[in-house]
Amino acid sequence: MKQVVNNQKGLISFILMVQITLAFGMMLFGFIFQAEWAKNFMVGVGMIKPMHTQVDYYTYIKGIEYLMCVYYFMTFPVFYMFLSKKKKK
Amino acid sequence: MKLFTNNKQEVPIVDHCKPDGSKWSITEKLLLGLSFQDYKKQFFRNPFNWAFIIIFLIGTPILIERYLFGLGTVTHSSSDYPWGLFLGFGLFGMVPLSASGFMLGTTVELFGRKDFHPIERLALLNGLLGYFFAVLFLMVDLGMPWRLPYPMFVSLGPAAVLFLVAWHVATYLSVQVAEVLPSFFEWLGWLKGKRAIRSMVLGLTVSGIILSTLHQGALGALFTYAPGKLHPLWLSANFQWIHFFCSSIFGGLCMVIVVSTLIKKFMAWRCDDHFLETLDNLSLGLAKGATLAMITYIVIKFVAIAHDKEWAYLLTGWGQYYLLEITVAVVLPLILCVWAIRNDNATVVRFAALIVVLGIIWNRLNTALICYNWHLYQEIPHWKEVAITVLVYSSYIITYRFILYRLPIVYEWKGEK
Amino acid sequence: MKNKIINRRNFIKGGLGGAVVASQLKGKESQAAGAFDHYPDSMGVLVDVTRCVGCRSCEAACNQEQGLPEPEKPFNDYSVFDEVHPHGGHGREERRTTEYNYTIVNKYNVPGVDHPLFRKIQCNHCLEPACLTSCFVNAYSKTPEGAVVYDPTVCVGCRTCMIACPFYVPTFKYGSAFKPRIMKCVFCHETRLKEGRPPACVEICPQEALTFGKRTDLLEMAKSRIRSNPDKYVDHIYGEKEAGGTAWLYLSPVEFDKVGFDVHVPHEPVINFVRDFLSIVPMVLLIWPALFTGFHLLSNRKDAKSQHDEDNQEV
Repeated sequence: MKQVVNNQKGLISFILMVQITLAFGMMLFGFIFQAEWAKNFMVGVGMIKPMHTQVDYYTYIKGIEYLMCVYYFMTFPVFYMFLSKKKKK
Repeated sequence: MKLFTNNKQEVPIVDHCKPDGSKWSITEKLLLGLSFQDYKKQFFRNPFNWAFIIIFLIGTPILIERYLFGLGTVTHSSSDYPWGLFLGFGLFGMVPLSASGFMLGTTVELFGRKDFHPIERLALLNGLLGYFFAVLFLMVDLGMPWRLPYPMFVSLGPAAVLFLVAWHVATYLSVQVAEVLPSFFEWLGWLKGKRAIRSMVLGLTVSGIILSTLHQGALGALFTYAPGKLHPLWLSANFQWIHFFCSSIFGGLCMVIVVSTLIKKFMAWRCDDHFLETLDNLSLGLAKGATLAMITYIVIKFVAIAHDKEWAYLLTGWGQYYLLEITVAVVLPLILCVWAIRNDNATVVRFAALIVVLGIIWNRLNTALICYNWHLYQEIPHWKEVAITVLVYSSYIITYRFILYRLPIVYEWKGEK
Repeated sequence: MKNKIINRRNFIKGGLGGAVVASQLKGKESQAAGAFDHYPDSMGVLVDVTRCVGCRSCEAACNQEQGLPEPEKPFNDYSVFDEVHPHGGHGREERRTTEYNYTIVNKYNVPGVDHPLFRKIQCNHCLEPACLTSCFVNAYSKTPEGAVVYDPTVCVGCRTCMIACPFYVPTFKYGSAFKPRIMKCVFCHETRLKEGRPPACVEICPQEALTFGKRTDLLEMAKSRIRSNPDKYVDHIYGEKEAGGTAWLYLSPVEFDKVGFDVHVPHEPVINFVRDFLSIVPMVLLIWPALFTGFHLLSNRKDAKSQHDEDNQEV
């Protein structure tokens, strides 16, 4: 029973890691080769946008920062579990 | 309770099974193994309960008045003083005294100091209840408490410090519930749940540290919004959050010392021998940690004055008041603690811890009320505001006692764990 | 070296392919340096304290425009100027804006001046509003026209905006249990400003003590008034720099603290005092997990190892 659970956990963390790697890979690829969709994406989510006041600017950058933090918060335990698990001999 | 614990060997309950082998039911566990008549008898024999009854009789109608006719009828909150006693005492005063949860969690679970285990659960419970009742104080003070989830799901203002406070209180409260649940599961006899939580304990502890750091800090940072209103000696735009965080460390530790002292004095029947025997040493150990935070706090308070070049203020009346606060609330207990630790004197440590706890509340009241609007006039809270504050604080004590009577916090559960 | 930088910049411009992005990048650079244009076409009001005679018609116009309740004393009753509100543990001596009046005029007898001076109080509509940045439900917004407006449908009633406002402007309906809200001047945004019309108080002023216009133009006007009448005005425009700049600007014949202005208001936006903490937050959130997990590994090496071996055996 425990083994099954462990296997499932392993699978889930593996899938998550793959997803994260893929997402980062895609972004890196897009930014390095300056793909059109990367620009559209940045404009779309407001990563490139003029701001008129510092207070609006802060509302905006803090929102993005905290989203990144929450995302990392969810990833870190998975990463740690993945790290702590040695491959079966 | 003493009367019963001396006469009945099955009371207090420490096991799932009665001496004759049959199981306690939940109702019996809730009634502490007494019959309903006996429970009522012990309740009314306790003079504290009579005091609570009086407080509730006076406070409840006033609380109802607040929710029916608005804050204006029960507080002196005004356009100049938006925050009164509910936040000044309830939120800013209770939260630093609840830092114990993450401190002891870190000590035991993260650094593996198992010798602090007997007091860990008390510290966790102290943290949980302190936060929970701080939130209740907030619910009394908010204009529209039913909109509490708005900053999370409806309309987000991520650049605001209060946004952080809201999110951190909410998440930290859940973390603390999870940290206290194992003792509840032991009492209930649901071991699967306990094991599930134990498997996440490292994650919970680390999140506890993160959320506490930021949350204690954010409460301090709230005052950086009022640079022209709060007296400069009590405000440091750069270091305010560290001041609040640092003082919460010794505040939380000393609160555990104070609470454990009260438990030892009034609730010895509930403690097991292990707890009572180790308590003196543990108090000294906690105080040792607290002194480190206290000496740091004194230095960084003065560094803040140097940083903002506010030495001249020290020569004014406000400056004298400031020095009085630092001396009485931090320097004096620091000296007492150092002497007591070197001489193994737990009694003096407990006395010093009490000064620290009162000192923390004093400091927060100074920051939120007394030195706020120092250019203007001094607000004096409405008596009804005081009554509601006492009411909520009493329910805090009652809840605290209710849980301590039952759950294995200050004693070890004898049944399977 | 300089060439190199320029080349690199060109490279970025060319790479992102489009003048739009490039120009926005330029804007981004200046934003990082802390310079924001604050809606250059936004409106403001210049208040000339030397011209105000204390007729209170602005109070009356505001009351009507905003649909506020009828006052106890009518607006042509000038005895309110001499009312002293005793402390009594709460409340200040001077009249101030309340939930019933978004604007009020106070009288000041200044020694050395043969006639009383009057000063109008209302929301100053900061360029970097402290109320906005302190609000955790984003109930406030700064409109391109220059007004700071408030949305009561999301407000929770925490009253942090009242703590944050350096001018003590927002007031709270403490008397309402079910529908409390913040009450403050909104520059007549919905009814007038949006259409380019001046707020009701300005329109009614018989003395032209209030001038409505683009903030940038008003600053010029104020400076030229001081220049041409240096004896009449003190050489300071209140609101040019206070709290990072406000849409409402004031000229006074005497030092500003003598006519009730708070001269201790810092000359930078309130958010500058909070910024330090805000920038630490993500660092704590991101560094603490690994740091303390690391501490745990460091202090429990033996336990961790035996635990690990157990795990391996089970598998």
